[in-house]
Amino acid sequence: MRLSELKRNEKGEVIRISNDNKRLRRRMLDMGVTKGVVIKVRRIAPLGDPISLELRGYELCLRKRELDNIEVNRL
Amino acid sequence: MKIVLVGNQNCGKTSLFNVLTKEHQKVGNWPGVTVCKRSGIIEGSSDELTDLPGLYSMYAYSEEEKITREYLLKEEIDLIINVIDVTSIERSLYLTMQLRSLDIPLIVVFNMIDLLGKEGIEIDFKKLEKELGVKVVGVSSLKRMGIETLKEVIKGSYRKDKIYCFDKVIEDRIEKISERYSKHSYFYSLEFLEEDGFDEVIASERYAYIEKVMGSCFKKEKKKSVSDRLDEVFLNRWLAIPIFVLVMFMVFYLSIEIGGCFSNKIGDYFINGCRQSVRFFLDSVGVSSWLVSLVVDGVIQGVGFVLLFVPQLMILFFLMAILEMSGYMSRIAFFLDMLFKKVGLSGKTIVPFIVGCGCSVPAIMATRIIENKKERERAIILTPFIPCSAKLPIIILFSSYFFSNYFALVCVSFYVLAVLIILALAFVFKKYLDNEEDTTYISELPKYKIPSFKYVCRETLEKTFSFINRAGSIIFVSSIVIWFLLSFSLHFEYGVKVEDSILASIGKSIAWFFYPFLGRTSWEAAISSLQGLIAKEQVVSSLSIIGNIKNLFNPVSAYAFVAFNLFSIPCMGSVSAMKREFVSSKKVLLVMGVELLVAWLIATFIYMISILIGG
Ligand SMILES: Nc1nc2c(ncn2[C@@H]2O[C@H](COP(=O)(O)OP(=O)(O)OP(=O)(O)O)[C@@H](O)[C@H]2O)c(=O)[nH]1
Ligand SMILES: [Mg+2]
Repeated sequence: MRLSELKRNEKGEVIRISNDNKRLRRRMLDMGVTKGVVIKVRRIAPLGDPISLELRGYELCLRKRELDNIEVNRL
Repeated sequence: MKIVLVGNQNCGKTSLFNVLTKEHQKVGNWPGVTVCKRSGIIEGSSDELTDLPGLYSMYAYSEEEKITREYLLKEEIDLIINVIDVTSIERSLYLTMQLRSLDIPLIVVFNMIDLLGKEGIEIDFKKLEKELGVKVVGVSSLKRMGIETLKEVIKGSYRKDKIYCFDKVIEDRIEKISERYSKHSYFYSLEFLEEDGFDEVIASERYAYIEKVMGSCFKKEKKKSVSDRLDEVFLNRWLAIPIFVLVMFMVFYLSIEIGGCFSNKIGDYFINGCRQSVRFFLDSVGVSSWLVSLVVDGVIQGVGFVLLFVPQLMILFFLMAILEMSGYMSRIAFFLDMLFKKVGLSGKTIVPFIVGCGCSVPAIMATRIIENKKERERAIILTPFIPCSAKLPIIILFSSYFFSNYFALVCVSFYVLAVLIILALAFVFKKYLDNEEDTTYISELPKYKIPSFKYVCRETLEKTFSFINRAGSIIFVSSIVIWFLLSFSLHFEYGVKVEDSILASIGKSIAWFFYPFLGRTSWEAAISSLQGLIAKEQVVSSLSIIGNIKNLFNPVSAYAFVAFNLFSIPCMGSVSAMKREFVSSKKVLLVMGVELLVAWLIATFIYMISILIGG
């Protein structure tokens, strides 16, 4: 399933990052969104977007659209 | 020796820089405070230390990260001090792995060790040193722990042991390509492979190595942090935006109301008192009358009048410093992103906007953290519309003279007006001038921090001094010039009627432009707006020298006049800052034209509407 489909406080393990925007994809890799990493959906902004995630011990905010491109296994 | 500080955004590089060099560069709790390089000398040595903007990866994403990348790859550097925030080590070590691959000696500094206990973190520094293959030091820039050790390490010799991070396939390939490069060959080879489709493998292997290191050197007990609890409130679905509006309202309301106690009530008496006693003194020692008038009517009136606003500004600077140090800024960016996206801006634009309440020049530079070029350009154009601290005296003066009953509310209404205009303009830009394009928002949410009282006070005093400094330089000189132009006629006769002065002649030639929103030709208003281009405080300063403000305006034209001055062409400093960021004079001229037009239209609109409604 997609990371954007996870609800608040749910966790998923990343299995694939598919993004046609090469620069953005590279940035997400650099920020620690790599295969196998466990990501928790921490918070959804009051207006519905962006979404804050917890991974590798810190909090990262991304827009929903970007989360669509990350495939996860719900844990 | 040439040493640089490199690390992720917000890890405390500038704090450490300030400790080591005894400088006072700006520190704040959001990613991207530093956006250009700054150098200083480490105290007690002759080593030059350079503070660079933060970056998450050598693969630079935004403008400020590019500066650091270029600097590291182009300059001759003797030592990199890689600063790491102990509360997010895992992500930070990714950059460390990249820095290791450069041909530059490296030491790793773990900053904020004062937080280890509170966060329930345990780190085995000895083991870490072995795993990373470089010298490791733990410090706290805030509590000044470990600084002496760090200085010793800088003086010592550095090691960089080989570590095995990548598997054999990658290492073999690197070996093959590396001879193509004369410098930083390991780094460039890796980068070549990353471009060549190995980016995911390389990133994963780096992180895998880091996970292994973390597993053996790092322990953290699970608990709900204070930051988390605060976010339950500040990022709450229903409360977030009301709280934000309330916070901003209070910042302006408190500065204006509390600070105003002094200037509004006793300001005029104070200045008149000064003028009278100085006049009395100069007369009594026999100074010629024109010089007395220059000192009293020009300098004391012009400079003193601006200084009356110091109390309000000090409170504003104080509250803003608390806001900037707390970590709330990134939250605002987070929950406003959705709204800003609708008008074609990034949520991060809130950073230049809030910094812009102090001064537009650093605010325009702060737009470098916005990664999308179009969004960044719009942010640069829109930032000067935020009333900066030099514009606050204009707002306060006119509101207190013409709206004494609702004084503070009228003041705040100008800020609301500014926000509405910015959103409207952004919408117009997006809709009619640029084609839609994909933008992104990637940001770290830093933990809340209790603002350090010392830093907040220092920041407040520094900004206040810079305001006073300008009063003593730019405003001082301008006041003298104004006095001359006001005291002489075109034929250089002294002591002419104000109406026949050079200043009046200049003013009269442009007064027509202001007629539509003042309802009369006022060369005084025209001249002072013109002077606002030098520095915005100059608007009130010159009006106070020229004459009685209360007779020149009525409430409606006063409101329109303030709006015009807030939104028209900003001061010279901001214009040149804009030029630096745009790197195109043509664009800047265009923007200035637009600003002038927008300000004129808004002021005229306000005047017309009020006349229509009020009859
Ligand atoms: N508790 C604690 N806080 C610190 C320490 N050092 C820095 N900080 C805080 O961390 C935040 C970031 O500090 P800066 O020095 O601005 O960080 P920077 O690395 O220069 O950040 P950028 O310029 O944005 O890349 C500020 O709120 C500091 O007060 C420390 O040793 N302990
Ligand atoms: Mg900094």
